[in-house]
Amino acid sequence: MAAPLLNVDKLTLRFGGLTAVSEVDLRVEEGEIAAVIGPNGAGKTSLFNAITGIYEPTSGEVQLDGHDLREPMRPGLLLRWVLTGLGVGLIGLLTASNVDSLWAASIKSQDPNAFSVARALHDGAGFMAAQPRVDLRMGKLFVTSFDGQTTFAVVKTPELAAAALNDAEKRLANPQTDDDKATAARTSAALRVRFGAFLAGLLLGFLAARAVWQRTRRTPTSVALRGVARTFQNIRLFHNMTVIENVLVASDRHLRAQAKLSDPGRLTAILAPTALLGLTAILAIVVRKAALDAAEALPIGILASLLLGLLAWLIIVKRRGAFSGASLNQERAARAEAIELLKFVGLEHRIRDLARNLPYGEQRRLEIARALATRPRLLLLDEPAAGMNPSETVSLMHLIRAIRDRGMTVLLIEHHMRVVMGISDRITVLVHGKRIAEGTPDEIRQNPAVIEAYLGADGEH
Amino acid sequence: MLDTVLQQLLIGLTNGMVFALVALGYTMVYGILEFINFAHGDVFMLSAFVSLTLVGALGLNDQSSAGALAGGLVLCIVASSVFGGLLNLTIDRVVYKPLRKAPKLAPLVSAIGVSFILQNVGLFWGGMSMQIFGGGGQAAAPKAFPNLLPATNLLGASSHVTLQPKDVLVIGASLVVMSALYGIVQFTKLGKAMRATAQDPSAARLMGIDVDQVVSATFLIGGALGGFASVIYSLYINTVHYQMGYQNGLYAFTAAVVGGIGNIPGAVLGGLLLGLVRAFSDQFIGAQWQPAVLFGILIVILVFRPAGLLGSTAREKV
Repeated sequence: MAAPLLNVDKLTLRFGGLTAVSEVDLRVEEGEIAAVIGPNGAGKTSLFNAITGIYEPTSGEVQLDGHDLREPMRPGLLLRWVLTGLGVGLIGLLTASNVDSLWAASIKSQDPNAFSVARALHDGAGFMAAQPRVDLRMGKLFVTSFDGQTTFAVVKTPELAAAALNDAEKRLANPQTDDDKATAARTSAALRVRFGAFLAGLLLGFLAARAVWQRTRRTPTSVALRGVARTFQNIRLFHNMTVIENVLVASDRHLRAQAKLSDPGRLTAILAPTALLGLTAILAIVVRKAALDAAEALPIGILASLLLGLLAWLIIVKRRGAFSGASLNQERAARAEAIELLKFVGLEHRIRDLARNLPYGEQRRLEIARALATRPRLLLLDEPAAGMNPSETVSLMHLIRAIRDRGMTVLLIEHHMRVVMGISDRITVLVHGKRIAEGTPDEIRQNPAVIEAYLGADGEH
Repeated sequence: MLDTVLQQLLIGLTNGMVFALVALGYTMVYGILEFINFAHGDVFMLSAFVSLTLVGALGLNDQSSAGALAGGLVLCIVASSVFGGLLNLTIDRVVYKPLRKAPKLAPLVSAIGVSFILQNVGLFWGGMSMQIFGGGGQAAAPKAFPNLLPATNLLGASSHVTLQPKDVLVIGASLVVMSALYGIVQFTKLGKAMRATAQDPSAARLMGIDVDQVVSATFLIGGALGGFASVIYSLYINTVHYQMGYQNGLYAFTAAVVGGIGNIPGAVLGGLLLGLVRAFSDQFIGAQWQPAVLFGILIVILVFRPAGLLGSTAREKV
């Protein structure tokens, strides 16, 4: 027998001392309508939340078609971890090298008012490398070793300080006196400590970033992208968006997945920023030239500005798909698909209405259409018939069957016994977080444990 | 009298545009994270320093040729916007993201901390001079930003109303940027994902939206708007100062609250309102009364519309 579409294996969900779901097994075969029933507080919605990644199961497995629903590893993640490592390593380096003196490092330059990135980098590197530095104390400039223990010279002006610094660096590179040798030894020891701190930070950051990712691999997003969609017990539409926007939000996720590198939209997405960067560089050179020799560079300047503007316009207006890597054609296709879905659930006459203005039954249908737009293989419906009148309930049952006939598998939580018994192929009963029965509607109807749980313990239904 | 009103209207509009652009950064982040990014004003300030540095590096001044100035202006706008966006994004990644699940006060206090850090970076950047150690105040002094646009009156020298090219630039460019933002938020995939996340982040996740990516995009766009505003502000005011982010950020934040925080058209409306009230109160009541009038009106508005002018009264949260 092939693996079931959804396989929940010994799933346990504990919140502190409370066990909401306890070692529940649940199998849903491809193409069936399965139901989970149980008295209030039995852990049905918690089970749904664990399947969709809102809760991380305390133990147990959830598999769709034999695969867990974790985010797969990709090379970009490695880069992210390395970057995090570099960041933490830098913090380690700064901590090991007394950040305060970074300020003093800046004095080395001749003109303190002219800040430049290149100079800051150079000074910063010199400071990290434990080179001699300058301190201002009581109006005088002290040229000292990196730790301030050896004083090389005391001067009055920055120019003299810079010369003394060069001198001190030469002395340390080739130490002659005992004093210089000791200072040089301290310098290399400090460098070792700093390098060690950097490496330790790098490793720590990398491992921590990796661990965080490992722990959060199964997110609602990753589950949704791998083919599980759901609706909510209390409707959670995007109320301030129109009906069609609600559906498009969900189907938009497929735009990028479909776009190939050869698609014009995708190509623009890569080329446009590169071209923008290149043009900006050209413009910078032109402006610099024009500013220097004051020759009239008006035509070139205006031309370059116009080109920049044109490019921005192309990106934003003509190819707004460039942001998503998808072309306008794909967006049109997505729109057509959304309209088709709305027709399917019977909302085609309301596509421009705000979701919050729909009556309750139609909001439920819209939520189903939105879930369908993610192109799920498995659709989870959390009490879809709650609050519906009898005629709405009947049409909901037709809708659920029609969804199954479109090739989707449905798993629902429901209290309405007419709905559950009328459409389910298989029913699982949860009581107090435990599975007490599983079978066809007829089997469940006659199961003494179920009858006791419903009639004996709670007395409702 | 009419001339005076027109003139103040113009001043109010131009000031208001800058407030509106900065307010957009506050309001977009609030809309999605329900968190006030107090460092946003300082991102605005540092972006201005980027432009100042760039203008210096390119060797531009009032005497430069028109072509060089036009190109330089475009470069400043590009550089400051990119810098503002990336800085805001980095701050979010490094400081706010680890606190996403912490109580709301934690990121708020962190944002205030980041604001102080950025102000000190501005102080450092604004002139790392000997006098810091010697006790002088040079680094803290406002830096002159060269007037890159001619100070001619477009309405003719005899007109009582002054309309300079920079007024046109401020209003025109702001309108273009705001329309572009509106287009992005209303029509693109990213925009839809942003609105969905703002309304219900966990439902958005279950629709396959990568909420982290949406948040990053929001910080990027908000920061870029702040960077853009900083160029416009520097051109208009002609000075750059390490505390300009704090002051203008406070006004912009107020604008966002008046308009209804989390509401994008509200931020623009609030910014313009703030600019106009400031201009008219300076003219007809007196500059010394400006904060009193401004915040008095703010209180009155919030008494009658606690959620701001365009804000919805209660957001449904599950």
